[in-house]
Amino acid sequence: MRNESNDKEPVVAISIDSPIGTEAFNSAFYAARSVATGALGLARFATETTVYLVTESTKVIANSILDTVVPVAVNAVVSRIDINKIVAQVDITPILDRVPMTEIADYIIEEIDLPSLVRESTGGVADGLLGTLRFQAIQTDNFVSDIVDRIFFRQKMRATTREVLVGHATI
Amino acid sequence: MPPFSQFRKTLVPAAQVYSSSLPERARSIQGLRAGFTSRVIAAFIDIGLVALLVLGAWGGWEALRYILTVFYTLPAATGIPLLIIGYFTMWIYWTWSWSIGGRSLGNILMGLRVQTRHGGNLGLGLAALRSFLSVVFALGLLWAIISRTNKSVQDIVLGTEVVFDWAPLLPKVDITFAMEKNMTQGGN
Repeated sequence: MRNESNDKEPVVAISIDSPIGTEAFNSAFYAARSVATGALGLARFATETTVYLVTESTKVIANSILDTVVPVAVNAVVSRIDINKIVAQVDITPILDRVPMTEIADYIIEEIDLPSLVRESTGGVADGLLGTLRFQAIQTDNFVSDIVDRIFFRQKMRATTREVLVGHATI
Repeated sequence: MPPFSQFRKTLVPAAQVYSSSLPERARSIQGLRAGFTSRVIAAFIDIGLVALLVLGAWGGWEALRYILTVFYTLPAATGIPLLIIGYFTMWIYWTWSWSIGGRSLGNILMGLRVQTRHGGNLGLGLAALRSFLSVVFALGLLWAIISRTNKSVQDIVLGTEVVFDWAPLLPKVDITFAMEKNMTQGGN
């Protein structure tokens, strides 16, 4: 915009006396600012990339060196000491105190189903017959109570009947 | 087979071991009130046991008398005295067996247990009362057919119940107490 056609006071005082025009000055300023920002960004990107590359390659190099050296060194050390001798000196009691013995025992009992093994080995035929007798009685119970409940128009079945029916469905 | 670490998270030791001591098919009915049939069979087993006992004792006594007396006379009508002795023996037997663990022979065979409403053991007094009512008014058991809660007249009067309990007859040992006792005695 021109000063002659502008009624308002000029915004920048120096623009009147300046040998270069305001527009030219502004364009130069913005161009310089863009260049500076770009240069800074580029420098930052370059630095970060360099740092990253250096770190990673150092890690890789260090790891590969360690991978090569450590086994050799450990082997050298291990071959010179008797681990069994060291372990033999360890006091095992505090370690055993930390081991959950009962829970391990429960786990093993549960996993090998020890109760059923005991039942099968000690109970035998008589136990199976007894179980069958008991269940037949229970089924008769259910039959009877079912009829009675129907006679009395009971909406809800008795607890035993219900549970046993559920139990049988899952067996 | 779950790994130990997983098993450990879900572990309830005592309950688990107790429940796994039951046969698998009995776990769903454990602790529920037993119905009429199971209980009447158990009662007949007990009655049969006592009848055998009383008749056996009487037979033994008569045999002894036959051997020892010179002029053996056939016993007079002994039905009524034997019946009274039988009732009395039944009362004593049920009192004894229900008070020491809630199970007579019939109960053991049928997998039943007599207990209080709260699942506790019947005391000697309560056991004697229940036994007396069962002997005197055996027909009270018939109410278990009709009762919504499978309770006989005796159960309703005394606040007891008969539940399924298939657990083996193992004595309960307080392991913690035994271990503490062992420790305070210096591992003896």
